[in-house]
Amino acid sequence: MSIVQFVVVMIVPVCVGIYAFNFSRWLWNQGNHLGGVGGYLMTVLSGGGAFVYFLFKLLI
Amino acid sequence: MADSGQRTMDHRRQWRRTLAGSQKSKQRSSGGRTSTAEGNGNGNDIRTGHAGVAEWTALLTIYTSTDVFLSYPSRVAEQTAEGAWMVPLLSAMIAASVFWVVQLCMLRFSQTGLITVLWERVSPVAGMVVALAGATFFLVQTALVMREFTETVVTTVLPSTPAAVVTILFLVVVMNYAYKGIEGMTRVAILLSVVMLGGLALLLILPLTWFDPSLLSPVMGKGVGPIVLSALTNTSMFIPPFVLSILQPSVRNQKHVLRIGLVSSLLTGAIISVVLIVIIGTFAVAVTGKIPFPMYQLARLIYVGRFVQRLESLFVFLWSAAAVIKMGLGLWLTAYLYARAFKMPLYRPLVVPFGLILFVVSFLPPDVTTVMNLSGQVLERYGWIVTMALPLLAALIAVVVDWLRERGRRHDPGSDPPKGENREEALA
Amino acid sequence: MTIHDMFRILTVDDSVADEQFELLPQDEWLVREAATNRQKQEQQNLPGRGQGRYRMRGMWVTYGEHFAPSSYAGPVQAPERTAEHAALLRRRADEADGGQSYGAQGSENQAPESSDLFVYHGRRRVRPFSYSYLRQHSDMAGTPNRKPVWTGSVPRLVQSDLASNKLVLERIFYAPKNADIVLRDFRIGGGHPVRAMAVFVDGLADKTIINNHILEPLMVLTGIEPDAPKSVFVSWVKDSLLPGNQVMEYNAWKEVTENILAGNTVLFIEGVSRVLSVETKGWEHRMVSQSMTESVVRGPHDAFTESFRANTGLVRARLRSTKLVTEIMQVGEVASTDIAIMYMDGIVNPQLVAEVKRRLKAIKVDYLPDSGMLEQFLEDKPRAFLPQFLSTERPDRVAYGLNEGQVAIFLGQSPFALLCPTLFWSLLQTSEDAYLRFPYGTFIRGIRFISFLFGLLLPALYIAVTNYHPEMIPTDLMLAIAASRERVPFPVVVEILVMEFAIELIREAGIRIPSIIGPTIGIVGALILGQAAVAAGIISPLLIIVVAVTALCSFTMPNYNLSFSVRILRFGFILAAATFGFYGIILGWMWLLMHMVSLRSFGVPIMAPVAPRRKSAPDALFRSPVYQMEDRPGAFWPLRPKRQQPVTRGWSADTHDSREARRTRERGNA
Repeated sequence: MSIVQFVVVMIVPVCVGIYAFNFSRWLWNQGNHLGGVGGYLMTVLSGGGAFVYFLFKLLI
Repeated sequence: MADSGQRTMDHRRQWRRTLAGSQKSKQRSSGGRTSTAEGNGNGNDIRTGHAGVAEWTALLTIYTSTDVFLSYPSRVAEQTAEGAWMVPLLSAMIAASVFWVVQLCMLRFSQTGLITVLWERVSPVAGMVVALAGATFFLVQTALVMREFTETVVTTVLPSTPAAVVTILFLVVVMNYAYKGIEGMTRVAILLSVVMLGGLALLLILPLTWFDPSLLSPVMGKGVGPIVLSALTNTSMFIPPFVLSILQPSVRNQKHVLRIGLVSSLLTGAIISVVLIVIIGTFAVAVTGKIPFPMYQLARLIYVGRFVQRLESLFVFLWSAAAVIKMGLGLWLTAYLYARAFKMPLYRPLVVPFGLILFVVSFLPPDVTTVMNLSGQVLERYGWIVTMALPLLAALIAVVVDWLRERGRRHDPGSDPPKGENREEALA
Repeated sequence: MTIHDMFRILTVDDSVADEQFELLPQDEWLVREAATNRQKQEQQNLPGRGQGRYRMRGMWVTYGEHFAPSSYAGPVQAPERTAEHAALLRRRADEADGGQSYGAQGSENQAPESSDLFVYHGRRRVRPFSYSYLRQHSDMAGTPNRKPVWTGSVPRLVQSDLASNKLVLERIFYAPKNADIVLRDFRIGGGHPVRAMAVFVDGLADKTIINNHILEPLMVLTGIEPDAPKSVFVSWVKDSLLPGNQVMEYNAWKEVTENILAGNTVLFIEGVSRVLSVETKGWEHRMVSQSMTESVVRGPHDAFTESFRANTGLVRARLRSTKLVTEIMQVGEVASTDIAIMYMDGIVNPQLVAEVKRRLKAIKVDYLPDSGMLEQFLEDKPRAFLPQFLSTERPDRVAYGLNEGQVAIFLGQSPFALLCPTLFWSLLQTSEDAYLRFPYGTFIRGIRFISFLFGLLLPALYIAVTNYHPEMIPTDLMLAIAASRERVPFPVVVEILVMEFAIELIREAGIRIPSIIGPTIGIVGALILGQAAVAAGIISPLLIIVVAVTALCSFTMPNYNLSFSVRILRFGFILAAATFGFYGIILGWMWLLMHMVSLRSFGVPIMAPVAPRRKSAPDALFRSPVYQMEDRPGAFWPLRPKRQQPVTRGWSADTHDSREARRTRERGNA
């Protein structure tokens, strides 16, 4: 596992996380607080979950 | 938030008043757009587009009968031996009757989706629970199906390609499908339905030289008990009751919702049943229960003269096409239901994050045996709770609660005027 | 998915994707309209509206540059006429006593712009003024020997004074310098002659008509009544003296210039603030000739030509109906081009006509030369792979399309008319399919559809089979392929790409090559592709067959645009097959299907009668007998859904006893 490969793989969940976070922030700012909460949950699930999964998969 | 809700509410009322003259407008506006005082926020406004009866039927049929390419035949053959071909028929009938009952309940609510009804008439929590349960179910199902199809592709046509690459390719196309939404998917489904039926017929007719009717007896296999049990637990792939009762407003002709559900369920049952007859008649039960993808083995058998032989690569076309549609709808439903659960106005931004989750979940099981065990022992065994029991229960609860509230209102007039107004309009 | 769509995925708000125009039946449309209005209203009232930047970005991307507020950078600067003139303007700016002369309201300190050519000066009608007034008050006051020049803005209306009209004309058309404009001074004859002036563009107007039917009757054959009042003078000239077939009266300069530029002759008369425009269009153009790109064996052979009115006339000559409406408008800020929208009133969906006009009005360009460019301005999805317009040069096809509920758009001197909305299937059809008996029509349509698939997929399939799935083909064939590839040093992909490139070269060279040395291309192509490549051992013979069949397949596409999309998509499939074999092809195919299915042409899904299913006569992939084609394509939502009676062969014995025939007869009796 080269470092380049590692970075390329790890960058995907980070990007998706930023994207989902932006979306949820937009929802929250629109006044849709319930949707905002759902979006933040989504951010944690997708970005965070995938990040942890890839980290463990690649390191172990 | 309350402020914004109040304001949007006023505009909705105004809009409805402007449309009061047109009968047709009432009918259409009630589809997914009605909202009462409780249902503020804009979550009901996710626009799905509309699709016709034939399109919906084709999509649901393809979605459900795609399981026949995977491990479903071998699982059913293991459970019920020679009587396996009766299982899908029985499951289809169960699904159809459940859907019928749900539709009977939904008649009371003037063609509004199930989640909207729950949210407005029962409690927002109920609507959220149903939507989240559906989202989870479809996420897990799509992930498992994706893994199974990936393994099929790797074993059949691309043996030296890493599974992750195959999955990513699938995922890209599937995300495109989910992004384009239900309108596009129904149209692709109806375009491909003819090709798929033709291909399936070819796939079943060409290996008929190996067909031996005696392998089908005894007809009842392991007996009535296992057949009924298997039929009951294997209903999780029949999604019309759940999906159609939620997406009712997106059917172009509201009168035919019931017909879509019944026809697609029964058609699927018939298709799978025929396939099972051919598979068992060709391989015998003992073998069918052991091989992971019987349809692939069936395709390998084809030998009609020297020129037409070994067409299994050609049938990759059929499988992958069906798989893309199935996973596309699965991902779309996941994103849509999640958005509905949290009253988000859009679902499309959720497609990419859910695609990533799908990738991760589909690679959580270490190998394909675990995947098949999971889908056989867990998803298929308990999935009917979501696809059958949940809509039935939810619809019954909605009817009972609504009836009780109406009774209460009749005894105590003037308690909740906006609701009564809305109700009359909805029933008109 | 295109790059455009990928960008849209990255923008969070997607509501624009659902807000595109969709052709609906009339009643549904009213409801939808109200719904969108309501939603817009709601969006405006959302509390966090200021923070909705993603929404704005989404809008920006979809609607493209022409809907963006600042992309069109104002009127175009017209060049200054002369250095002398510019100096004049500067001097006037220095003096800065505006309001002295008409139409010079403070805008003199810059060069004249095309936008202030026709300034509307409030509600006030510009009164006629005289040459002497001009001498006194304009810049020419101190320079009696120099030829006067009109400066400042052009008034809205024509003056009654012939001299000042002439000055204005010279200003508009850069007259002495611009040799194309002819200003012919003459006198309307008789004992008490009246001064008049005929203005036309040399080369656009027919000189014979001007000499024989304008100048001659006015100058020679006139016996004018000397004491006739000026007010009836124009109508007198128009009614009795001008034998032209179309004579119109105008009083605004905008109309005057448009008429002159359109090839008409405009007549100014001293003391009258109106002009007469006589139709004298007569420029050189190609005669109506044989169809070049859509030739058929059976059916009419004439085609549109580079003449606007001849084209519309060709259609009207076929479709002789009072319901046929031709609306003409102009597009182009600097040089206007005529656009005709043609439709059958009572058949076409009015919402469609409104949408066509709405999109046409949004076009703000300086010059629009051809319908090929107009097409790109009007498309629903400009980045899509498939054409969303049917461009045709066949009048019979346009007439048939109009009768089905389509709208035809003609543009200026373009020999191609646009039919919209277009269905994908009609891109694969020729008008000949309908003229042939239905089994033949179905047969050639089937051939064409297969060739569409082959043209897209054949090289890709060849690559997939030879590279990934050699077990699929029978052993003997596989051995033959292997033997033919024995000497070839390249991988299959490179082979295919090289040959495809060579075919594209031949195709392009075949079009560009002067027709005198045209046969060369055949010899060179045949030599390179057929003999030398194989003999040199760099290409296998089997592959030549594959590439040649593919090329033939893409030549059978009846629509020029469609053959382009087939050619380009073919390379995509080749790449997909080279990297992932069958799996790549099927994923690419599914992607393409989704793309096709979600594409709309003027709000109509282009795969329409099939996906989504719409009520229509069976005319998509196959052609059913003509007596069964009762329905117009339902996807156009025409106002008159049936185009013929259910029983059209009532005379036939077997039809006569049919159920429909009996029912019709009973209905007739009742």
